[in-house]
Amino acid sequence: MPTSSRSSEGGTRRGAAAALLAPGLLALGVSFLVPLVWLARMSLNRTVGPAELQTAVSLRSYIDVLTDDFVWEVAWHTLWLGALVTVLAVVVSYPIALFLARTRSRLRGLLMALAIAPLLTSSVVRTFGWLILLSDDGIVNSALSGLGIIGEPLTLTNNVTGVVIALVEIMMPYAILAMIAGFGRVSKDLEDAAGSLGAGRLRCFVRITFPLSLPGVLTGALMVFVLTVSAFITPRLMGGGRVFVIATEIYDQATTTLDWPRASALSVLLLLLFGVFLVLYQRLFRMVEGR
Amino acid sequence: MEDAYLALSKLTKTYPNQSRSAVHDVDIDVARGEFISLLGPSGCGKTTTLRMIAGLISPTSGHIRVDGTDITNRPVHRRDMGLVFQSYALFPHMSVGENVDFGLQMRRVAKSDRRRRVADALDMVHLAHLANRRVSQLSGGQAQRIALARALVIEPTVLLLDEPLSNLDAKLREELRVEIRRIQQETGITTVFVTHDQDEALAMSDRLVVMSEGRVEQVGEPWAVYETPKNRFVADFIGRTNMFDGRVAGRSDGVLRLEAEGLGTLSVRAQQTDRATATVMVRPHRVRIDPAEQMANELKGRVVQSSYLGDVESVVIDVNGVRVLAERTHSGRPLTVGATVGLGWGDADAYVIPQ
Repeated sequence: MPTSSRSSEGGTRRGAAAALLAPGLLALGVSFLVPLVWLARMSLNRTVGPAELQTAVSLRSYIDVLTDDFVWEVAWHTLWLGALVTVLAVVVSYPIALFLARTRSRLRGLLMALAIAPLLTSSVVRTFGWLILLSDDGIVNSALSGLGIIGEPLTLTNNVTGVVIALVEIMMPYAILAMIAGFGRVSKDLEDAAGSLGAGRLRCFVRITFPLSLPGVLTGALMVFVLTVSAFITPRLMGGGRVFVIATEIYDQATTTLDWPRASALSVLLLLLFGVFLVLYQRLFRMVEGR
Repeated sequence: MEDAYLALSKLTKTYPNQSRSAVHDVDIDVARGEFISLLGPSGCGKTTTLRMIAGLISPTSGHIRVDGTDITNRPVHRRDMGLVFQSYALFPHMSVGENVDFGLQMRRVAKSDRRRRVADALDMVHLAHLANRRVSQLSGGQAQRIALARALVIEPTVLLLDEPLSNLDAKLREELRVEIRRIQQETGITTVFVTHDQDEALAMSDRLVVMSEGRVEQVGEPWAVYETPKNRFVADFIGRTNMFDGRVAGRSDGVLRLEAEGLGTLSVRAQQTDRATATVMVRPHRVRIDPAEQMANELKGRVVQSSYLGDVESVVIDVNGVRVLAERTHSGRPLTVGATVGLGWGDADAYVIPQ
């Protein structure tokens, strides 16, 4: 019977799909979902003394966190850092991404590899690299003083400036990749059409290329923002303990103060914040894509 | 041509690392209001030529003039040429009306004027009711009409059409080519149309330019190119054809007699008769099957293939190992494969290819 053979074939296909998905789902479940549930549960426990836990269902940690002025200060600081790094990383990456998305050069593959090659080294290594480059007697300061532009070395490490510089560079490959993926609607024909209708290069960019690249810009921005706001290594190392962000705060609570419920509560709040930004992103995306 | 409105002279485009030029020494003169088609197989240089006219590719050498003014080095956005693409190239982030308005905005036309001209342009393509639609809601045929309106609203000097019908299905294509031709004649705009589809080129153009490997093979009115192709390439490219090579055996009264392998002696009316060998071309619809009357060329063969297409029956007949294409109209029951048939054509039905 053709019908039954088709449905059994469909069944096999569904079975095969489930079998193929199973390892990934299992790994995700064990490595992501279970810890997340555990984290949420932990945030409801109570801290009774230094490093002493009491199993409970209490919102104590949340109330503590949300009424703590320092936490709010750190949160604002984190958001500002995220916004600044996002804007800078997107601005610097945009021309590179646009070029890579559009070029028909034979070197495209190589250039693409070069643009994302930094991902091959860990951000720890890259942050240490920036520490050396930006230190008082590093190449940047010695070059600037050698050229007579500055007398005193600029303080580029152990402060927010250093964190921003390093984060922007570390985020660039992500921004470039995300933007290229979002530049699907930018096309040579559209730019040629605009040209034939009398638009010079600048007006063509402003009226055609840029609006059409907005989905890519938005995707890149979300990616950089989320990664920056949750970044720990670079703010910690480049900031030299003087730059406080939510991630370093969580780390301190978990390892120094040993207040796990508070650290968990902070983490859950950060996760909720990401959720808010994700929804915002989707709204904006639909707006620029739908137009 | 003295009164050429658009004149290409010795236009050449060579790309680095390529031995053959994409376009080589192309001379084309287009009269004001003329509809000219660039026709040829892919890679023949027709699109490159069009893009050079548009200013999207700069020529390696040669000149482009419009109404006597040399515009060879003028950038695309100052050329005042309307361009229509195969991909429609409508701006997806703008409405239909905004798309048509774009060129007027770029020209800083006053707002009240713009509104009227956009409405007129949409009226011309009978799509005034779609002004507020999104581009993504248009069908292919509608999109290309809007693209045409957008290109014409700026009142360009020349309209350039780059395979505008190739993404459409057959029926729509025919409809739109009638419409493009109507609009072209109403507006009297000088038009260059690039296509690989000979039916389109034959049906729409005042003149054809047949190109191959970057060179112009023949320029002429559609019927002239079809009936009297200059060389084998053009004969073969435009329409289906039979070509027989033969040795000249004799001539009298403007009729050439030719000895062709397998076919015997063929007679053909020809002007040029001073050669030892010649190629004769006979279009399939000129070949008559089982002719009632006496014909200058009469042969016998076996049907090896018959395709019944409704209005015509396309037949392949084997004559002593030579394949002859023929077409039967009003055929009724198609011929059976294997049947022996007589075939013939008059000496004026054939044509000697000059080169």
